[in-house]
Amino acid sequence: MKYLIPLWLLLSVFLVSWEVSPEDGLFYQPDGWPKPSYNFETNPISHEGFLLGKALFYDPLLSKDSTVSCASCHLQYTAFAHVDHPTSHGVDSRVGKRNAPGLMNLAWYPYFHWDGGVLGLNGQAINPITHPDEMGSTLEDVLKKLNRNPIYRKAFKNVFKTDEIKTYHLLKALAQFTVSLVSANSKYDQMKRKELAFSDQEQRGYTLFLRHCNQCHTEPLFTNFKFKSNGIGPHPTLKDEGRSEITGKGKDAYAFRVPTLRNIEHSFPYMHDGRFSKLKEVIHHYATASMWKLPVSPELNKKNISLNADEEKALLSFLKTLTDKGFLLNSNFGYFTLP
Amino acid sequence: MSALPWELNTFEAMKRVTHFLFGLVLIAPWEIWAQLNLRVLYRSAPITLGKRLPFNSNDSIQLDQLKFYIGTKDEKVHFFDLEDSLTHTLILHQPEDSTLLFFGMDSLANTQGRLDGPFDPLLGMYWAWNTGYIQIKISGVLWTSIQSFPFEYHLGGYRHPYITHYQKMVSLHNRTVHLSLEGFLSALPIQGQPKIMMPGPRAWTLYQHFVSSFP
Repeated sequence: MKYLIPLWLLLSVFLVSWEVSPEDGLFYQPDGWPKPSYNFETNPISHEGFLLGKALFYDPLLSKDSTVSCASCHLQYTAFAHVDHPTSHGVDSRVGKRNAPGLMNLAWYPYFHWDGGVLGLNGQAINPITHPDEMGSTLEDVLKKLNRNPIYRKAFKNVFKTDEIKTYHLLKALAQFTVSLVSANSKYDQMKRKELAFSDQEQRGYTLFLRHCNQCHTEPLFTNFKFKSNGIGPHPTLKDEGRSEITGKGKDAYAFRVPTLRNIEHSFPYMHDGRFSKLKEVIHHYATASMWKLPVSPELNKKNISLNADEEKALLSFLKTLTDKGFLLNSNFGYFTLP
Repeated sequence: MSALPWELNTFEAMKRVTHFLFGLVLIAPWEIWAQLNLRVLYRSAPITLGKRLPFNSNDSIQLDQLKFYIGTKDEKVHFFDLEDSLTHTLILHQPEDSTLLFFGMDSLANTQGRLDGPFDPLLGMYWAWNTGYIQIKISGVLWTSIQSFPFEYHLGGYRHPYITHYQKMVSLHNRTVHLSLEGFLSALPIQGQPKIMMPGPRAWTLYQHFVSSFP
C-alpha cells in the first residue's frame, strides 16, 4: 500500500506530461497563456482526428482539379504562410487579393482572416475550399470525393463513428489539425521561462518593442486581435477595404487584423497585401511617420514612433527571437498521407 | 428468443396484431398532430419555381429559388426550401388557432459553428466569408415590357442594429400557415438594386417585409 500512492503520483505526472508534450503535435496550453477562444467541447481532439486533419490539410483532393492543397499556401517551414508571392495563387493560377497568413496558435483567435469575417475555426476552411481564387471547389464535390475514397471513409468512421462523411466531419477534422499548431518555444519563450538570456542587442530591441509595439502586438500571442489601419494606405490596384467590408462602417476602412509576430522572420512577405518583402522594410515603415498614409489608427498617431538605425537593428534582432524552430521543423506537422 | 410469426399460436398472433393496431391508433394522430405545414402562395395559389407569373399590372415574374429559416417553439431553427417538399413541414406540438413562429436565428445560432442539420453549409445558407447564415435566399427574373431583370437577394445579419431575427404570432388554418408572397415581392427593389448579398439596412428592411408576409 505504501508504494501505491507514490506510484499513482508518478503515473499522474507521466500522464499529465504526456498530454501536454509539444512534440506529439496535439494541442497543449503553454504556461501563462490566456484561455483559448476555441471551444474544444465542440470538437474534442484525438490523435486519430489530428492525423486525419493533417492528411486532409496536405491533400490536393480538396481543390476542384486536385492540384492545390491547404499546404500549397501554408507551408510549415514558413510558419504555414506563403512566401513566394505577395498574395497567394490557387487553381488555374488565379491570384487572390490577400497575403496568406501564417497558421499558429489558432486556438486563441476569436476570429479569422485579415478582415475578421470568420468567427470560428471549425467553419473557416469552407472559405479556401470554395473560393474561386484558392481551391475553387464545392463542398458537394469534396464530400463526393471523400465518400468515394475507402481510406478516408475508414479514417472518418474511426474518428467520427460515421458511415457517411458530412460537411461538419470534414471541417472538424481539419480543425483538429490546425488548432493543434501551437508555437510557444521560441528564444523569447525560453527567455521568459528563464532558460536562457537575451543578448544586449535583443534586450534593447525588446525594450523598444514594449515601448512602441506591444500595445497592438501584445504578448504572449503578439497580437491584440483588433483591427487597425497602420498607415500603409490602399493598395494601388487591389480593391480591398478590409474590416469595413465586414462591418459596413466607414470608420473601419483599411483596417486589418493585427497579425501575430511569432515566427515573423519566416513568414514574409508582410502586410495583408504582402507589399513588404523584408522585415526591415516593415520596421522602417513604422519608424518613419512621414511615410504613413491616411487613415492611421490612433495608437500609431499618438506614439509617433521614431527609431534611429541602431534601434531599428535592435528591434529586428528582438523580432528574430520570436522564431520557433521546433515548431517550424516539428515532424508531427509535416507532410502526411493516410496509410 | 422471440418466435417467428409463423411459429405463433392463434391467440398469440391475435394479441400481437391487437398490440400493433393499438400502437397505430396511439402513434398516428400524434405524428400528424405534431406537424405544422407551411404553404407558400402567390395570389392565393401555391407558387411553383420556374413558372412565370403575372406581376404588377403588365409585368411577369419567375422565382428560381426560395429558401429561408423559420422555427416553432418545438423546432427553433428549421430550414425551408420551396424546391424540397420534405422541408415544408415543421414540428409543432399542441397547435391552436395561432402559434408563435421564429424568423431567422439569433446571434448564438449564427456563430456557434455547429455546421450540422439545418446549419450544414451544404444547404447554401452559410456565409463563409462573414460568419453567419443567410436567413432568406430568393432569386428569379422580372420581365417588364422593355427588358428582363434577373434578381438575387441573400438577406440576413445578426449584428446590431440590423438583426434579422423576429418572433411573431401567426394564424393557422388546419395546421397550416400560409405565406403570401405578393407584398414581399413588390417590396424587392428589383429594377434599382437587383442584388443584395450582405447584411445592412437594406437587407434588414426587406427582411421585415418578408416577416410581414405571414398572417
